[in-house]
Amino acid sequence: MIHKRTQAKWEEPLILNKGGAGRRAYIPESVNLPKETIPDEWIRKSPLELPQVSELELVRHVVRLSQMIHGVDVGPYPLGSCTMKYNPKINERIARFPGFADMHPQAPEQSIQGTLEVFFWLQETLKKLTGFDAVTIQPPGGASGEFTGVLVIKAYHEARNDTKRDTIIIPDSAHGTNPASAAMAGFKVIEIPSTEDGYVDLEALKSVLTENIAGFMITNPNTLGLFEPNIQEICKMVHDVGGLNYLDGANFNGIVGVIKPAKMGFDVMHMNLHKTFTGPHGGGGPGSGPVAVSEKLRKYLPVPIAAKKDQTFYWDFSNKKTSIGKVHGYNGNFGIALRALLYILRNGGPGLRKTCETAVLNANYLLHHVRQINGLTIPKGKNVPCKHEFVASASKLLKETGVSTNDIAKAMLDYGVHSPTVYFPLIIKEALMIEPTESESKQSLDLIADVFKEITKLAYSDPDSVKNSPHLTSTGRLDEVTLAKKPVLSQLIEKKDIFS
Amino acid sequence: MSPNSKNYFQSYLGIGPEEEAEMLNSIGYNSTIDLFSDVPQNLIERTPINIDGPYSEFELNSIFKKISQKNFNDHLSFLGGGVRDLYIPAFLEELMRRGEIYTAYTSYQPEIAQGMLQLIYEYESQVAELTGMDVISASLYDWATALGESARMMMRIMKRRSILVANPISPERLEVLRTYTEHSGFNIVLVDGEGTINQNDILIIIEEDSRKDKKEREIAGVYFEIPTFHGVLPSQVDEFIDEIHKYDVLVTVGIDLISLGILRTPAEYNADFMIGEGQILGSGVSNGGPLLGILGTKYNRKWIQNFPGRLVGKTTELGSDLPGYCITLSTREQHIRREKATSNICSNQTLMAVNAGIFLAGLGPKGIRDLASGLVDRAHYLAKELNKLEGIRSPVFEPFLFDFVVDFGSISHEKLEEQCISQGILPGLKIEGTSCLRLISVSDKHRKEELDYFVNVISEVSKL
Amino acid sequence: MKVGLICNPIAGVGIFLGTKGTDNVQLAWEKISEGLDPPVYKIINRTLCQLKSLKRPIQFFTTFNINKVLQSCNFSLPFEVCYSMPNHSTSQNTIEAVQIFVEKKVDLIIFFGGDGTASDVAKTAPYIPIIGIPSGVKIFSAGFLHTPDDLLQILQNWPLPVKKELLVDLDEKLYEKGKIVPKYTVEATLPVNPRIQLGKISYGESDELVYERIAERINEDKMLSNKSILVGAGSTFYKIFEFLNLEKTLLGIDYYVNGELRIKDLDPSKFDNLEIDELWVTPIGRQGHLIGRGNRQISPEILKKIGLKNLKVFSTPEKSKDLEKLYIDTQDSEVDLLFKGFVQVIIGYYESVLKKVE
Repeated sequence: MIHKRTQAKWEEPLILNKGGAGRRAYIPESVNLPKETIPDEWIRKSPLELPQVSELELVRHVVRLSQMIHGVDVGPYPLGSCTMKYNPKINERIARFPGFADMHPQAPEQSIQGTLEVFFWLQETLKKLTGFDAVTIQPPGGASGEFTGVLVIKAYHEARNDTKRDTIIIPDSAHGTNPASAAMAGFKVIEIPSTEDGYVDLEALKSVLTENIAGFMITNPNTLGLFEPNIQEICKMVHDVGGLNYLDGANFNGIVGVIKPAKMGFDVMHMNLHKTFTGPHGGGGPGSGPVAVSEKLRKYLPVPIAAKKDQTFYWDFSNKKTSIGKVHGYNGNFGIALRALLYILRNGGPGLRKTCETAVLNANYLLHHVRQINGLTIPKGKNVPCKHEFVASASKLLKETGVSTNDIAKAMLDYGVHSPTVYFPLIIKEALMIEPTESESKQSLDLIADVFKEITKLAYSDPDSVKNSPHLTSTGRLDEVTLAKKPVLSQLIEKKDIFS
Repeated sequence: MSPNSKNYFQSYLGIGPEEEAEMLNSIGYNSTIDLFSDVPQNLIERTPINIDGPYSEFELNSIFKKISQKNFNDHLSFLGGGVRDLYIPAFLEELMRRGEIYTAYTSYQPEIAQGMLQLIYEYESQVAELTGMDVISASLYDWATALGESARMMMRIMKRRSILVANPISPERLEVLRTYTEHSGFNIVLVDGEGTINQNDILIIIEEDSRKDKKEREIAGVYFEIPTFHGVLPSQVDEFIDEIHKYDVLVTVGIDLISLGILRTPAEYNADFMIGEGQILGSGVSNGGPLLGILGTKYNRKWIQNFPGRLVGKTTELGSDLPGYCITLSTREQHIRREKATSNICSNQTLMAVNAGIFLAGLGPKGIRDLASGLVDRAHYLAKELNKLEGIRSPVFEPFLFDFVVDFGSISHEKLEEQCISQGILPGLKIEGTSCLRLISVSDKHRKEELDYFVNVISEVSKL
Repeated sequence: MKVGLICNPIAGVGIFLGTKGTDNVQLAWEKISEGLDPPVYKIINRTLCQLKSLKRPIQFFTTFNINKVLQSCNFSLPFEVCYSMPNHSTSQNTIEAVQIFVEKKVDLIIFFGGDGTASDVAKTAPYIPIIGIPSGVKIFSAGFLHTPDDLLQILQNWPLPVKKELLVDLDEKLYEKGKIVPKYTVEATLPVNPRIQLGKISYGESDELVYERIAERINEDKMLSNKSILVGAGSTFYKIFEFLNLEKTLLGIDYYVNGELRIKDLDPSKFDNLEIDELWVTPIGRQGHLIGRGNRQISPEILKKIGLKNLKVFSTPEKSKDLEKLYIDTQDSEVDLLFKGFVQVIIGYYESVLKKVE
């Protein structure tokens, strides 16, 4: 019997419904200057019912709410594909140094030498880690990196007057952002099926390789956590018809420091600094999605790029004419880039290699234990080690007990363990995508395995108790159906009573 | 030095070397590299990649302290143009250091993330209250990408392929807008104005387009900013928007969120979509990121289906009346709709949205009014004082709000920057394509003495 | 192993009556007495000849002399006719025959027919596993082989795991009026095997945007221009064509030339003279059949002319997601082979999915 945990449960009203007239948590600096007026036609007429709370009231409110959130700092978070590793605290301290936090992005170059040095250092380091020739830090998230990378592919073909290439090939195990990004860049997308083993089906790939193909987008290790054994051949096949190869670096943690992606035959890749290099996930962001490319694609990257001449750093705009343009108002999420650089430097080459190997060991150790659990199966990767993550299926359990993947996910929450990514990738039924990361201890991995064991056992003896879980979280299951029909998306909608 | 003697990275690993051996053994492997036996061996690096590090925590701390000090962040800055360096109260910074908040990810399991979801809902609700827009995205990357998304959304809804953009607009926002649209065959048409919106020309272009056959119409929407990039408050915006709507064309306005403490809201003048930069709500400028893209609209079921970014809604617990919060309408998002997704955005700027929500709650109605009018007072004082100087015209465009354009006359950009920086000042944003126009922005960090100091320095520079 | 074998002699005659099923028995027999060779004979022949390589002893109970059929492929099987189908047989005769199979304690009943026959067999023998050899017009129920050529494999590997499932029969009259209302008839015991099809599910895609986006792609890529195209049946096309502002029958095959509807609900006898550049089809929900279910009107001869290259497949993303593979069952193994390979299924404005055709 493993210990469960009870999450805090504060019946905390909305901050808008707290407080009292005249309370003020933050009073902005006043200034001893004449009062100015604005044109009458511009004076606000609508009421402004923001909260009126004292500083303590506000602090207590947020602290209580924070106690009803599960983060990496609270407990295991094996959310597949998201690489929920530890976020080093030194990064948080350094990112708040005033020189970094308070610096305007458009200050003259001489006044932002520190900023430029950080960007430059990270660019150079990412080049070495990926084996590519040029890097932009500008994309503010993974999907933005994909959009950037796909536009670079487009620009490359267009510059060669190779205008027939309107299609991107994507495997059916891909992240949903891949087709969305390709479509956003104006490409058509062909999704190709995977083999029984979960790899790219070479026959299928071959059948769609024509002169209309602009590129091939793949995640490797793929979303099943498996390394594509034929990746070099695949890249060559695409090159042979004139297409380019794009690596979605969401799973970089499975190979970082051990394999340089450029060597596999890729032309462009994006990285998710918030995954592989510990940018805190922040409840959904900010992320950062740098894009690395080979030499022939350098001139299409967004500008500016940090550069160095003698001992001075500067913004290099020299490719402005050929560039795809900007993908962020300034230079991307500097704060996350800085944290990534700090993490990389703390590790060095040996540390990143160890990190990757440990992430893979942890995943295989957990896989070994999950494989033995009655009710769960590992549909793919039968005879190979997984990389940083693996995918289990609860199809058998569902058939035999009526307990679904979603029920398992909910039941796990009562043990203080976050659920894996569920129902993804789409090619596995009742999928549980599990990524423990290198940060977790052996005890923590054993706990995750034991939780799976206990829940599946319970599914056979008392399925209803699993189906009704969670019991110990700050709320039980929610009425999501009514919400989708009547989406109350703000207190203003409540006040206006739009749905009655 | 051998790698092992500098194993500072061990801090971040969950298992020690002895445990590693034990775990490997238990699953039938000899070494961790054997776990890569399925990978073509020619791909595997035989030695660690040669990058800098490993560094100790102490080393990192000192190296980066030095690097951070190379930035002139202590200079008196008049830089703005979208982001603004405002004071951040200590309680906000303290609260945002809570690991429960910043080490969580997207609230896929709402039962274990109620705190996060409520914080996001409070953000949405307060921005809704401030702007009058019912639905607020949580969230987009920044103002510039929010513009790109909003333009795409207007074109999706109207099934037309062009957007009119009122110039002046910041060159950076314009460039991002072009990246988001022009590569996929959409058109951006710039309509130039003198510091403010050229309402006349915009209406003429729309009127002409409206005479085309319905299927041939091109203009889906109009984008303009209030105040404009040059700081100006346009006049008779209500009538302008009414006219645009008569031709069945949509409107997105770009606004300064803090200005709404005193200004009329986009809902009052009936804009369809509202975008803006959320960094000014309690985050540092941080060299341009992370920022916070704000996008809002009035409730309209059809539009919501085309709305990018996550949405958190309020519901109840199944089987009880207790309120609960969860992500909703996720069928709009890429992981379900894939190519039909309204946008490819996945990771976003949630943490900045949470930060903005707490900031607004701290300010309250009076605080945001005080903050806004304090900026107005500073800006107008500074503009008048600068105008008193020989050879300097300030402001160039009126009426203005927080930011204003100054004509420094014979003082070139290079000279101004050089002289000001040497006196500890970052003298506002150079306006591209001009020899002496700059956009001056004020902050609540500016006291009267500092504004006077700036005026004095300029006065001296003008005499050089 | 004991197997009951029953044939509905009028199965598939509906094709020649221009109806979407053979519910009207009397009309069907009239057509046969006018000289139509019962189409099911060809299928029986194709199905049973493969049993030449059968490696296990099976005792067949039948409703007809199977060795007469097997003469053409020079071998014979041990069988016993335990019920003689009268001329102009009805569903009552099917029921009576199956009752005899039950008394004989057969392990498996194989029937030649469509959804109607399946219901008759299952309600009489609810506990005996049944397998349908697709021979009817409507074949939307679960329990049919994807293609008759798979029977040998099934018998060779018998016994297979079984499950209980409700059979589906569409009301022919409602169906013709454009209402795909599956009516669940009886519970049957069905073997579980990838070679055996699942029941059709209607994907009432509530999101009209799906069809609109496919229509946009057809317009943008000018797919209808300068071509003569046969467009198959189904609600997917019905809705896509609404957005193309073109008329489309729900259940018929329509003929378009250069973006204009030329012939509505095509009669098979007129097929031979038509110029056809492309055939557009949509898979049947959950079964994955492109040809041979719901569009039997298209003869193998015409399919031979079209070939895989000129086949365009459209689907909603939801329907496509549930289909691992696609199937062709043209009643002619040679033609089936022509269509094997990979085909792109267009599921949206931007997106296509590559699927294997078997």
